[in-house]
Amino acid sequence: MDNKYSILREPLVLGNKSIAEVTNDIAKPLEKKSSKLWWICFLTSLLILSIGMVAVTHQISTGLGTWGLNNTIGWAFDITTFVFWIGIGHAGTLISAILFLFRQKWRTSVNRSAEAMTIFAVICAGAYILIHMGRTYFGYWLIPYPNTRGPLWVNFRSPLVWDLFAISTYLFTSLIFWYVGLIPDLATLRDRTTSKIKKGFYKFFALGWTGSNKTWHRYETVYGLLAGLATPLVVSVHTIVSWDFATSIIPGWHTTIFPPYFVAGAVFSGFAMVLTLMLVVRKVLHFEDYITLHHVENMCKIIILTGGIVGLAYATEFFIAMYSGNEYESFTFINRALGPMSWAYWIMVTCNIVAPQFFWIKKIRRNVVAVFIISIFINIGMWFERFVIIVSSLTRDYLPSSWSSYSPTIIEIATLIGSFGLFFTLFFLFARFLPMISIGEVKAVLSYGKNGEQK
Amino acid sequence: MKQNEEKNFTNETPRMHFDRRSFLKLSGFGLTGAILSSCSGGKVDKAIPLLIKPEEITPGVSNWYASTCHGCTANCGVTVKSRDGRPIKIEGNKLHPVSKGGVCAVGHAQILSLYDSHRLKGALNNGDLTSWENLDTTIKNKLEDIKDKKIYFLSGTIASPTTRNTINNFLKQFPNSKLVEYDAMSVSAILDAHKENFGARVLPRYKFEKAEVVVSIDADFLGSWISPIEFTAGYTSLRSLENNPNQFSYHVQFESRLSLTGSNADKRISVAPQEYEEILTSILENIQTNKKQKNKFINSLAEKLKEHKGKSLVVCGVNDLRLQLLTNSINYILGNYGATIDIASPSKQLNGSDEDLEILKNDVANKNVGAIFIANSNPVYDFENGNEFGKQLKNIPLVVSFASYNDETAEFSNYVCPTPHGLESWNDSQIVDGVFTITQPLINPQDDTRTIIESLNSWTNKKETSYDSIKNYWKSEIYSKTSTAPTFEKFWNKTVHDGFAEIKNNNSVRNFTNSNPPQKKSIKNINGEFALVLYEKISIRNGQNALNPWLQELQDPITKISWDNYASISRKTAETLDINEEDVLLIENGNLQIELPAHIQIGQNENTIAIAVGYGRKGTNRFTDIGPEWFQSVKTVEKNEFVGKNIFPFLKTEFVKISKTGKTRTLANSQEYNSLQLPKELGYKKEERAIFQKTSFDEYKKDQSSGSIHHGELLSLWTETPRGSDIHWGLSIDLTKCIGCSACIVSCQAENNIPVVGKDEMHRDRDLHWIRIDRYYNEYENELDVLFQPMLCQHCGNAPCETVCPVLATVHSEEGLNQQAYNRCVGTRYCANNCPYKVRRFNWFEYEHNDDREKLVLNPDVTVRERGVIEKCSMCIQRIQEIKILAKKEGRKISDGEIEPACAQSCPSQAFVFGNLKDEKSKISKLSKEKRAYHVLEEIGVKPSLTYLTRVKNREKETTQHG
Repeated sequence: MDNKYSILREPLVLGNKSIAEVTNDIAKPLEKKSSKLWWICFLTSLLILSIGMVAVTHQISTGLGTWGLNNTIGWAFDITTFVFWIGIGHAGTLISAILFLFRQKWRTSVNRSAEAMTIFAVICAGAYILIHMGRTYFGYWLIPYPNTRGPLWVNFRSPLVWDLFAISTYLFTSLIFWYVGLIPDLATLRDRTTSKIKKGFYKFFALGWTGSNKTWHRYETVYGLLAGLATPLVVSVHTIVSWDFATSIIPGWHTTIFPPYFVAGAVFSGFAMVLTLMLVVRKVLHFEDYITLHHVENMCKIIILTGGIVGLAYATEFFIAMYSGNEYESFTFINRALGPMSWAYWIMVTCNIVAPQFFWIKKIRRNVVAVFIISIFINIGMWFERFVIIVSSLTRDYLPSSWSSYSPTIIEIATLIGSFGLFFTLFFLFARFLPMISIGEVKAVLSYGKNGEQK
Repeated sequence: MKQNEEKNFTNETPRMHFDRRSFLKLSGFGLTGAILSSCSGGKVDKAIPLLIKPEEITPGVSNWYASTCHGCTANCGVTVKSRDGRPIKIEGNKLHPVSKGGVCAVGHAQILSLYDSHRLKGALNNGDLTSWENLDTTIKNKLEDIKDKKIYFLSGTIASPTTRNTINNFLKQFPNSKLVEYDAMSVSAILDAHKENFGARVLPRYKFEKAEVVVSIDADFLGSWISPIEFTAGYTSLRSLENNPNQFSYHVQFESRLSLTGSNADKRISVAPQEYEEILTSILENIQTNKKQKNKFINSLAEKLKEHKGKSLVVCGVNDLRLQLLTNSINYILGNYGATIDIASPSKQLNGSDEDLEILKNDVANKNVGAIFIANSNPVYDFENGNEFGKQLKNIPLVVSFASYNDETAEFSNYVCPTPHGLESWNDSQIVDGVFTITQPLINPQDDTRTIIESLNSWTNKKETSYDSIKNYWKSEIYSKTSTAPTFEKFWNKTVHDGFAEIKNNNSVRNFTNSNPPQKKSIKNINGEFALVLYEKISIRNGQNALNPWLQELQDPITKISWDNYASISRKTAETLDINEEDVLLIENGNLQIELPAHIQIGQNENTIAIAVGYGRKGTNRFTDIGPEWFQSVKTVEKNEFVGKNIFPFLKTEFVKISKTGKTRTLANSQEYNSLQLPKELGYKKEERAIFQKTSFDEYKKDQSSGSIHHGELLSLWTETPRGSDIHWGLSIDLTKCIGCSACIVSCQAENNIPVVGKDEMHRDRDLHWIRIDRYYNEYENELDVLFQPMLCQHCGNAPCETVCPVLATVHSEEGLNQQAYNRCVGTRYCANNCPYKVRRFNWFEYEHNDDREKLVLNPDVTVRERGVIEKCSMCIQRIQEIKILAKKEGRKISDGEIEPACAQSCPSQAFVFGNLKDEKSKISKLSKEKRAYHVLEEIGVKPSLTYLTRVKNREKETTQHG
């Protein structure tokens, strides 16, 4: 292998780090006492989570009527946020699996966090599946298993059942993938820590990692295989989630374009979320050398691409609605853009189509603050995309008599915020106890030693 | 071990060895004991099984008994379903000569009023419970004291001949006594006009079934006027294309507010009340002298009337003598008396006299009254000077009320002798001359109540029960006039069984004498003022039913608003005065003031404002507990607030001023979008949703499939596998017959244990009604077309709800029904989202009954649904099962028409037909193959089992446009 990188190519890790420095930099935050900043962030997240818990408790104990749904609009914040979280998760899998297979080395400094983000996002989505049910306590009836009720099986024709399979597969695959990737780092931490408890913990999960050539070899094989396994999931999960809508007969839902449109949208929103998180993490944990502007720029480029696909999908939907001559379909889209809920539609268009266009400009791509702001816009836009699809289609469907309007209750808003609380609580716990950057993988992309210099 | 051995040898009593078995034994004993002891403590009355089983009662099998409905004064014939001693459902009596099997929403809801624990528990003496003995002695003593003073018996129309007889006998003891009948929404002028013209103060019986041309001046005869069920049956019989495809009546309505009747008219003209007279005069002038009038439409209408002499009918719903005399003259000239108007066998449904009432009011005001008995009415509530009248009652030594509730009038009465519910006591009534009905009780009085007859009997020292009095009266007064039955017992038994007896009378035809109409009223300058129109809602009517939660929750068929009354104003008024929907208006005339939220109503005359009476009833504050309570819930009413406002103080007020107060009040409107036409603000011009097939009678005669919205044959992706059963249940709804009266909604609610959700939930579009009536307004060139479309589960062959349910909670039956397994439902609501008709209902909360006793109304054949599950129309599967089992037991096939769902059974216009689509000979098969038949949204391929039939109106051209 040629050891020399092109001078045109930016180094993936700045600061000319040595191997030991890398280990120190990444492991340090885990070995120090928790900083004040961490406590503030963690407790705030926990507080937000508790607000959500209170809201969910009220909802489950009183009834789903505590949400702003009605006879016409059976899903709103619940499924919107569910799809939003599933979408967020997509970047993680894409970075860890597809970029790995394509040997995109820049993924190494962001993949760990992105994968963690995937798992936490899927947990948030999973929570929504449970709480959106009228009888949450019978949620396990969606799982096909031999039972004493007949046995009564699930309806294999229902996209909700496919959803359950898709999401649980996704969760477990992502979890295993993430965990396998963590093993070498866990061993590093095990070897570094002085605390007995921590040592026991890391030791247990490091599975007796020795760091020998053989171990590394096996590890690489497993990791490669898992990446191969996870790759179809990037496409399948959101495809199946989109079928929740595509297989229905509601105009605005019943659209064959949904699978690719949803997948692109998911990657789009996922990268936006990765950017939002990483830009904060690199600042707070001083990982500027690892998560470089080069990384940020790469992610921005992916956003331009997927954002373009999403924009094309919006246009195609409109075109097909008009071209099909289907009066219900065309009405739904006119109503979406001009009707009583058009504000949501235009928020979506502004955030998802207009905002990413700034990424064509290199200066903006390399401006951390600008990227952060745009990423937030995209997150908002993508939440609204699902909101528009779900709610605006439901509000005005076939019979004008049942047309209705929707406004969320405080309980619903609190639940939405609470799901962010859950996400960030998990994320901060992760930041505190596990390495946020893959120590082992980053070492492989160091420029150290490659220019022949020694330190 | 050693210790044990030692123990064995000592003489010590062994320590109780407490092993698992003895623990279980003891705890079992203890538990049983605890259960037994707790049983003995409760109050159990007669909880022993029947030693000798009554012949007709089998536990779990329901019996039907004929009776009479007392929801309003129309007194329709009903049959009541009793299950294990509990009446649970009211349906129509199909043999009944007047109501012909129909029951209105109010009638259906009476079954709930029966179980109202807020009724008085016993007699009241100045507000305190007392025994009947004490009360009787006190009243008798008091009567002794005031014997010679003026004694009034004030009552709403008394339909019961026995009650009337008993009252008359009671009053006979007192030289200075009088029975005064009045009606809150009076039609006294009709009776007075007939007295002037025919010499007899009668309310004619209108025969809509013979009227080929109907002209109605503000008479809401399909909704709330005199006898709506009877009129609906008659009216729709001439607008029924299956019976007679070549005949169709023509109906013109002149009215100021959009009434149910007006919305069904072939031609509706919105006029202000002060214009009614001009209309009547010009019609009269035209038909009398053939003089052409300025108004072209009036001329053509007069021509039509003249063409249909003896087959037309002009009715006027305004309580104004002058207008009624004009109406009589028109009808007389048209030869309608004896044809479409029967005064030989007149109606007895409303008998009030405004004249008598005025005399009574004066006497009460002048403190000339010694005693007043108040029955079947609530004068303190529904007099225009009710409060004042209440205060004046304090001056009367003896005020006795027969109210069932501690109502407004009971509050001002010395003594209250509560009367039982109509289904708790024997009663009789004479609806029209020649038709007598029996009210058969279905249950013992739940409270310590007495009928008017019994109370009066005990004050005249007659120890007779209602039953005996009625039977005696019938024997001497009614049986003697008929000779059809050999013995009285046979006559009586047949009458009780059928619920009615028809007795021929030989009243002679009366002659018409022209009379001089009273002075024409000077038309006031109405600058800036609005004519006030008070009307009865089909649910609450005059306020008598305001305590019934089903009726409070029933959406008005036109406005779709429940739980409130409001001031309906025209769109133009709203624009000129800058009033928005739900803005609270101050409505005033002199000292009279009331604040009501505004409702902008299409079709409302711009010079008028319409307000429903019957609201603001005392006792409606109990609905403060109704509906779910949660973080953001809003109470239906505040604790010390009533549902709506009482507008009766404005009863005699003709004009009012309105102004905005700056406040707003939420109205629970359950239909947000009101037109089939797509929203203009989205750039649509005249595109319509093709879901309602409509045509005109002229076009229909040329082509029976006119107005069709068929999209051609649909291709299926897969070959149909025929279902195993030879049954496919289907329902057809004739949109021509459906008048939108909403009786089916309440009937379904009673049959299927549908809870009441309260105003806030209704406002949030979370009503639980399994059937709704979609009402659309379509406006073409200043013509308003109102469309009613009952919407319920379509039981689709390719049901979109079935494929999406993850747990198979909704599945298709062999017999073509879409079924919902409540116990399996986890509540993802995907089915509800995917239902193109949006007829699936979700249990957002646990819905408590407002009243514990109300639980007795529950139909034991239908599951009460849990929170968190979806429910919807089951096509009354319990009724299907019942008949299927019966047919199987009897070894026969189910005959066509034997099964009727709750919506279909008592539909006053028989718009619904249920049956087996696979049976070639069934009525439903024939209807579904009619050229008028169509499915709503058939182009999306869901294959509904429900068939709709094109709505036909008698117009030259249906102004139809389709998208």
